[in-house]
Amino acid sequence: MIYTYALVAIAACVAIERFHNRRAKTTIVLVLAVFLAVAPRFYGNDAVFSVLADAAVYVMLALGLNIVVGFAGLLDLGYAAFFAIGAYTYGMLASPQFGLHLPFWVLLFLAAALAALFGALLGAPTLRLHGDYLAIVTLGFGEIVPQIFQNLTKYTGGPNGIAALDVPTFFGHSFGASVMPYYYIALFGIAAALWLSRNLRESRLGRAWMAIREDELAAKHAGIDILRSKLAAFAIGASFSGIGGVLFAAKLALVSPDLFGFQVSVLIVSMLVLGGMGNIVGVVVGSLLLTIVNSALLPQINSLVDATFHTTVDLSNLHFLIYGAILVGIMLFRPEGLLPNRERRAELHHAGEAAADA
Amino acid sequence: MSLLALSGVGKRFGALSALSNVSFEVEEGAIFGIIGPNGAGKSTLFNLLTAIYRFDEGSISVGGVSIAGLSTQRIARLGVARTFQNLRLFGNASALANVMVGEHLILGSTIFDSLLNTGKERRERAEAERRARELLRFVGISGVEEQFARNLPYGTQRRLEIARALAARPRLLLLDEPAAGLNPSEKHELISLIRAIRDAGTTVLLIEHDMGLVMNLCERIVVLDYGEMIAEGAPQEIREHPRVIEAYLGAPA
Repeated sequence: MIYTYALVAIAACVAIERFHNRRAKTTIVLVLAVFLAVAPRFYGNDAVFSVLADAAVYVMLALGLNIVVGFAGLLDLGYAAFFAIGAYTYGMLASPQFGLHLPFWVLLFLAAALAALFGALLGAPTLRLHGDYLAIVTLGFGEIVPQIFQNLTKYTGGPNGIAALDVPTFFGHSFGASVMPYYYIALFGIAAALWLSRNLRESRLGRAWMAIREDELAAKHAGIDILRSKLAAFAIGASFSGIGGVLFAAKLALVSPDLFGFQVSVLIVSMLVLGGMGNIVGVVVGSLLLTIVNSALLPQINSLVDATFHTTVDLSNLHFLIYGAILVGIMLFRPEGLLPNRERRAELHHAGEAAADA
Repeated sequence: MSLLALSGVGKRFGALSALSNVSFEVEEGAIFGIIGPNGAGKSTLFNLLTAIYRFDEGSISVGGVSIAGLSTQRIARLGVARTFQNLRLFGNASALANVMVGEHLILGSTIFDSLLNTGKERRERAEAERRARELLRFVGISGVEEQFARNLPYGTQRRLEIARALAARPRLLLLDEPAAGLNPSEKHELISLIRAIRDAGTTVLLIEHDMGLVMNLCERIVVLDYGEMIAEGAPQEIREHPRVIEAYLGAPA
């Protein structure tokens, strides 16, 4: 069942990439939106929509990271930090922790703003770094932030985190135990993230990011404020994951530091690489595929193995092996990702030709 | 008042004096040349003008404003645009996008306009695109709008870089060896293009190795040798200047 939804969404994404007619694209988007909104009334169960809601959160995260890595070309390996900041915003301000029970809807925006602020703060020291150096510093920040949450026991519950988070309400109606509200909010979040991403790509700021990514010195000579543009990328990218963090925390009703480790940052980077960095639709496909593999396919394989061999092995330890295999395969056979944009395809194929010429 | 004024400009790299005591002024509306043998300090001078390097001595002003301590980006705001000796195009972007980046400074949309795709953003984008097409036509390469910069022939890339620099509507255009690698007919077209740029109101300062082109095009020339200014004058004076002849041909035996 979960595969039906995932396949429909992925097929629609591929179709959007294949059609160049604006009208056809709009039609596909609308049909997909109606399908995703209406189909759950007839088809599926809570387990399916729980996975889909998680998938949707990851799509938002991936779209946010895509702004930093794909658009501005800043390799950020600590992106999970902002996811954590979003989640802890909800965890600390809508729970018995401080007795503050701020409304979910307010916290969605507050978390976006806080994550953006921290995106800019953590981005600031890295502005003059490039490539590998930038990646290593961001990796450090990605490790530091969960460590801080883990060690500020007084405020964050330490390693145990904060449990019994408030169940959100919508005009007085509690979300209760249903996952559907999260699914719908996340869909709405994806729509917003897609709209913003598309706006940015075609904008003056988007062109400035392209210039910085391609040739920072030439960008400077065009009068582009490099520092400001990079900070904008960090802040906007982080704000997406702040919202994702609130959704994630509210749905789980729990936050703890181990949910936001390095593996989450790696997972999101993998989604970009798999789907096609820089290409909005490709990123959506990459994140859907990896989430489905992660939360549906692998557990099913696991139970299949157990049923066949009458064992109780835990294959979740093999997740990284499987990611690794997927990434190696992609790098070998399709380095530009499954659905790359024109620029990236040209870049990597050109690099290949140049290597062949040498 | 002259558009660009250098007075006693010097730059050292460690013990090496790359430039010393360079002083000259470029009048608004001029086509001004800088020549000199390899290693004379011509590109270093350009790099001082756009703050890739900081000068150690003297002063440089653009339109009466001192550029000491200003960043590359601030100098661009003063109306200085440049091309590079080794092209620095945005290779994985279309020719049109390259020129539109050049228009960055003349557009006013903010981060929020960009995020929300406001009416201002959309109007500016349409205008920017129209102007970019116009500029590509002006430099004589219309038809390549959608192609990636790096796939264009070399001569076209050179022109594209000029179009990108012009997109900011600079007062002063710095061309670093614009004729390098061009064939004779392309050079000929380049001369008319540079004249057209000047006639449209942009002052041109260029570094060039092709002596014929410089003598033909420039109204005034500065000659550098080992970081020192050995001559300044009109093409005819430069041609006959004993120190210039010496620098290029060696001292008479």
